[in-house]
Amino acid sequence: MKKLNIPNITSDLIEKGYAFLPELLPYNSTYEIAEKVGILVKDKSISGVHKLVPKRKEESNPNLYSGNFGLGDFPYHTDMAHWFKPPHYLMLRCIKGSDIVFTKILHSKKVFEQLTSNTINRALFKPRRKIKGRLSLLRFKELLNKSYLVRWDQLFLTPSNNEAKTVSECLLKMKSSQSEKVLLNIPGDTLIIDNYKTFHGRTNVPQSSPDRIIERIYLEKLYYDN
Amino acid sequence: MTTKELPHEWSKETLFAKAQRYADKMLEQSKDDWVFGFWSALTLEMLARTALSNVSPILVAENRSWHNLYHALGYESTKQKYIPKSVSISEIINRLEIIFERFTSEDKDFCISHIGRRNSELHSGDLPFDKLNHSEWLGKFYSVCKKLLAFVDLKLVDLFGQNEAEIAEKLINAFQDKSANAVYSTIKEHKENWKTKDNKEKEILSRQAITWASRNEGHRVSCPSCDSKALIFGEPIGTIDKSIDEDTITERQDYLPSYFECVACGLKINGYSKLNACRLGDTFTATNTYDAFEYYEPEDYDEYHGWEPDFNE
Repeated sequence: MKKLNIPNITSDLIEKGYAFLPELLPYNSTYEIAEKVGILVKDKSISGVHKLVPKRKEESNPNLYSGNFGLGDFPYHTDMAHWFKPPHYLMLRCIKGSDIVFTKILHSKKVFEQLTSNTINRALFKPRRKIKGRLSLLRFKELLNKSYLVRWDQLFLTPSNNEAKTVSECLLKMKSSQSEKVLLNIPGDTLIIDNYKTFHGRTNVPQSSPDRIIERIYLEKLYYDN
Repeated sequence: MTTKELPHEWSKETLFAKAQRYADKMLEQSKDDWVFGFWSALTLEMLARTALSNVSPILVAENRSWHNLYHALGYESTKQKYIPKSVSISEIINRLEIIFERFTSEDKDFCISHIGRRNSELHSGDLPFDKLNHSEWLGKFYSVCKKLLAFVDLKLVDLFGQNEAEIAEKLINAFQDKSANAVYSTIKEHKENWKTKDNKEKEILSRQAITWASRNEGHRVSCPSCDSKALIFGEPIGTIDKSIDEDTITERQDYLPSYFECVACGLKINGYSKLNACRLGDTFTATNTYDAFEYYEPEDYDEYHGWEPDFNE
């Protein structure tokens, strides 16, 4: 598979935790683009392309973000934070955009600045629900070889110790002004987010933009990884 | 079993997270409360399992059934009603002593004793943690924890948090000082006793010590009390270093000191930490040389070697 030549993608991912690629091959499908930028996740439960359409609370389920937040702000979180090994990247692609709904991205470095290393390293969470009949403690910041991943989700994870409560309080207080905001407005606008290094969310969807359509696909690895 | 959703329940990560949870519970209690001691024993057990799992989760599996080994490798057993079983904590500790050079017999004894109190708490009507003065065991507990954490590249702060880690270091130092003071006191006592002997008696005892030291296997040193020839015995550590030179095979093995004895003044010191405190704790190397023929000689070699067994025919 020949990878796409995308200048600065590696440096953007390292410095900002995301890369925005405006109007990237708009006539290609999300799946095709994803295959050209990296290796797709294989887990059947999250593989493939997911169509994300804003929904009112009453139109969705309580196990989903839309079932809890509806058209309101989606708070900062990492995807599949309740998993032991969440997907490394998510790619969001504009199918039908909005010029007033933003994806907000908060780099973990900005959160670390607010916390002591003792708190960061010792914070433990647990999934709010058993997975396949089991529950395990999960670290907020987990070391990986020469890197790390962060996880947090105010819905799907519950703090298991005082350090985790401190982390949660900190993240709940982080303001939108501290994050970067990306607009997926024009078909083909593509946003690749490092799910290990950043938290992301969405600003509220006004009544005038309920038909925004974004497609999402998860990747294990990018061809541009160091 | 490890999947993307769930960590393996015998992985270093999950075991350490559990150890941290138990340590948090321990620190919620007053140090004089029996519950403090109880949670400390659970913390120690989980930390011991973490250290062993870090080498490989297979070492944590109960190995009488291959299904447990299969499970440890990350596979899902299809055996009906299968429940993964891990090895007993006493076996975990035995394995730690063999695998990690720095995990001494003293550390092992402490773990067995402390975790044994947990067994007694759970399986009998006794109250092993009540009236257990924490000043008598907490320093050693933290010392063992520090060692086990080092085996997995972690520190006291990772398990107990910043505040308690600082306290732990002080307790470890105090424990080591206490141990050192006890051994210095013993050495001083024997020195004073040696001084009371007349020169003739000292000479006889010293010569007897030279003979004894030359006839017994051990590392020869000078006694810190009477300066006579004495012996240090130890536990083998590391692998045997073998070299061959023509018909001679030389084996070198390092030992960690565990026991000291002087037959001249009667000084005996037991345990690596005490030996280390009085500067007798350096590792030593034992060298043995063999004739190649002797080394490879079959067990039943004799002058009739090569003939069938004796038989009345």
